[in-house]
Amino acid sequence: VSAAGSSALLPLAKAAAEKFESAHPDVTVEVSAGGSGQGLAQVEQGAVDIGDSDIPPPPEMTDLVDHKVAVVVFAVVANPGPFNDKVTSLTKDQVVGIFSGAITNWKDVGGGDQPITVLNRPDNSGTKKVFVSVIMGTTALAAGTPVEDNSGTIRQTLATVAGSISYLATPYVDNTVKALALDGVDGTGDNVSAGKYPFYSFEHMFTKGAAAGSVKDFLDYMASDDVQNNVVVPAHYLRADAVK
Amino acid sequence: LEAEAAAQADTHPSATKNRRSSWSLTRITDISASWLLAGAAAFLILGMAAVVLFLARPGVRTFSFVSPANFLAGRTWSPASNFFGAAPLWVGSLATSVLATAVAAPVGVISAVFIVEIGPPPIVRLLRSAVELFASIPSVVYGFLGLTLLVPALQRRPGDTGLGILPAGLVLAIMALPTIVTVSADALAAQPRARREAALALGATRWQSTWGVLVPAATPGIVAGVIFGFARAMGETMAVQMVIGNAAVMPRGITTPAATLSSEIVMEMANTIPGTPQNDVLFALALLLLVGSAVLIAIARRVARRAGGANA
Repeated sequence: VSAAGSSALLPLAKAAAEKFESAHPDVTVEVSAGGSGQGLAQVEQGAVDIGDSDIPPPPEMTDLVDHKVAVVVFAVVANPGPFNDKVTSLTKDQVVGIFSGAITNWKDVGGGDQPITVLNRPDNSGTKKVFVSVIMGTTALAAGTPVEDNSGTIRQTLATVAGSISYLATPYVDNTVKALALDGVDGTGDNVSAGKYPFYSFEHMFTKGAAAGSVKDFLDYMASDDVQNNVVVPAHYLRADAVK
Repeated sequence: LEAEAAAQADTHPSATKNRRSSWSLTRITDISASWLLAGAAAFLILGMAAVVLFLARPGVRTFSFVSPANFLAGRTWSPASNFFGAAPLWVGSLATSVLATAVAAPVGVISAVFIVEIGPPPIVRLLRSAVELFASIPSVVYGFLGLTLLVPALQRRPGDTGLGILPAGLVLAIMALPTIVTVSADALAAQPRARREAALALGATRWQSTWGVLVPAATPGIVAGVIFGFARAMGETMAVQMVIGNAAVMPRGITTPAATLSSEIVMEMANTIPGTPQNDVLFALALLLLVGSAVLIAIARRVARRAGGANA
């Protein structure tokens, strides 16, 4: 079984693959990451059995079958400092204002006098696509902001640049940065399941046509309680069935 | 050669049998060596052709959805929204490379003069190995140093990211230095000894003979070295991507985030789907980079050839 694609999904897929291989010594599962786009293209071309992706395939790839394997929750995340001690939540409109360039200072969202530095991910990053579709809607992002191609760099920059703000998948959030609630709602699993927190997406594994044989066994295993409870949840993702 | 060998064999009939076997061995070696050399050369040429073809197909496909003029002169780069203006990127590439060369060329040429003309041998040996070491450090290490030393130092006001053309140009200057030093030093060292001696015989001081005679005579070679350094800076990807901020907009200054042709390719390649315009246009960027490098190398070679002519 070969799987390629999303680097966000790589740690989950790898951990599950190792457990699967030890239970099925006759099957090897090869997992690699080259980006969601590459994963989709390779499964469409038949180069791999499974394409890992954070993003839905383009409409012309009609024969890809979706297997949702986890839910990833995102958060608006800021550099922590005295200027935003009192800011624990932003409204969706405030977030749109900040990322479109209309709001440029923390004092305009209830904080101290500190210019806001917006950081973005590349246009084709899954995280950014979700941010744009869930939060920004049709409002354009401000141009000219720094762009970093992985979440680790975003977190590191957020930790060091005063007044900076961006968005991250919650598995990347640690105590060097400050996750903000959205409209007063924290991005917890319960809030996501209850439909109160909209900033999340599914991690997908796509097959070309219906999965069969070992590929189907592996995908079934990804969806099993063993993987969902012992791999997905400890990695700070939500179970694939956390959102109906 | 064959005929000669046959003739020799005829003149020494007693040794014919013995010789023939050794000749045939020589011939086998000859033939296999020439095949090996031809094969290596063919591999090189085929490899080059493959690279060009590989870039050309999707690159040229780009021009079915954006005109070459809009691609080159367009100021809005946002492939996801179908804006394919690459001007911010090649301007970024040029700006970082010009800055890098402006810093590296004087330092590099002076170092080369020191190595060839002035330095005492032990220090020169040390300097030469330092240059070789500089050249062999992986670019990600330079990027990492830039990100951890240079970028924080450039965060002057709160809210500054410290990312932009300035840190990228400075990192590239260090990376272009070995090329400039090596090629310039070779050009200086290639100056005939007679030229040095003639200058000294005319009563020139060491300073006068170095700057008045040798450096001017070696100028074409030095210029070629600087151009190679410039090309090196333009092609560098990893180190630039780490410190430039990757904002694909027309640079507004050297301390605001920008992007280059190569950094944008690496940022977008993994997440775009082959065959889509968003992916094709990255090949067009690569093609532009290839054409730019080819032009630079052609200029450098022409300049260097003039140097050869002058020396002869």
